[in-house]
Amino acid sequence: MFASRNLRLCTKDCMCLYVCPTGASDTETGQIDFAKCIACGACIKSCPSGAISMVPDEYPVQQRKTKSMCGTLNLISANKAQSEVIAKRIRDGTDDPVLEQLASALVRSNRLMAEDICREAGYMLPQSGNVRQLLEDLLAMEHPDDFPREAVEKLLAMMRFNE
Amino acid sequence: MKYRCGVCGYIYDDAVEAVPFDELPDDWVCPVCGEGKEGFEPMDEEEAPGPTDGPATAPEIEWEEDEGLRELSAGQLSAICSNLARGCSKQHLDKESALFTEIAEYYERHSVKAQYEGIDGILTLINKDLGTMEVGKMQAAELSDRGSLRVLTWSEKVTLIAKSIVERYRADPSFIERTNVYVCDICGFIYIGDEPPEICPVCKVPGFLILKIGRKV
Repeated sequence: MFASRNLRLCTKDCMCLYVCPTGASDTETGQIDFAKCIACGACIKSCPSGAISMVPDEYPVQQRKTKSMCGTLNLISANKAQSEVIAKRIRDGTDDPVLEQLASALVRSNRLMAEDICREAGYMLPQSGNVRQLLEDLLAMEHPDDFPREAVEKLLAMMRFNE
Repeated sequence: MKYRCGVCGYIYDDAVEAVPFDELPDDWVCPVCGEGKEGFEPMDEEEAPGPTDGPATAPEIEWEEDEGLRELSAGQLSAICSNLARGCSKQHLDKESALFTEIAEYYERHSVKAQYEGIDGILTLINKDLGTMEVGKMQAAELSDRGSLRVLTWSEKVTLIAKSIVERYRADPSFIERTNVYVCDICGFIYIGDEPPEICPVCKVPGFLILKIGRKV
């Protein structure tokens, strides 16, 4: 575990500097030095702007989803992903700056919805068993040459899966 | 008397507004999502604000046998991986985040040509989704799956607002010309207006996360 500072909330009250026993919060980047942090929580308790939180090492197992619920969510996320592709074609194929702008908004909006829906359909936690299974399945499939196989292998080796 | 926008949930309260709702001109539109006056419903004084839940019991739903096992499209794989990249960066797992981004970009490059095209294609998919979301919300309520109910409630609102904006654009493209376009970076809510709302009307994040979409000059 280590403490992390939300730079949007930090108002430089600097109480963390005063209470930190290891000097981990005294950095030039504004972020806490995670390597020096001993997770004592003193900075969190002292911070008047509530800008520091503890990043856990381990997360609880993600909620299980029924196959039928995932089926419904997947129908929608497939359409949102498809809408993103359509909006990209509109964006890239027009000379009208307003249509280009609206299409860009639709690209972003559909991507965000697809992400959020996929997240609720079993891919919430990067450390979940589902994600490991997905990465393993991807490795087992045939892919064109530009497939980032190494990235998948690295993730399987690096992630601390909790299921 | 209070009136609620059927699209984004914005509440027009006669008690605080200068003009009573009934006396607003016919071309008045919702200040949040641009829905017309006819899209507003009077609220019961007793009723708490916020979306109404679906019926307590979902009707019997028959599922295609293979729907749950349906293969994920390249676009979906890209969205899963770009979202996992976000998740990793929230945990300060920056290397892992970059690797998920690499996979997301690969699948984005390999997203196949869509079955539909143009603004009409987007509207076709929006209408399909709205039907599926209705069913999905009942299903999620039945299963007490709060996460799914949450995402369906948000994305249904975002989709309805997008539909209203796209239809307005099709009827009169000039309504965007004189103003700005924003997208909430959390839920995807699209806002057409000079300044973004202080809080996203759909997911309630602060306005600094509602990002401006630039226009080429």
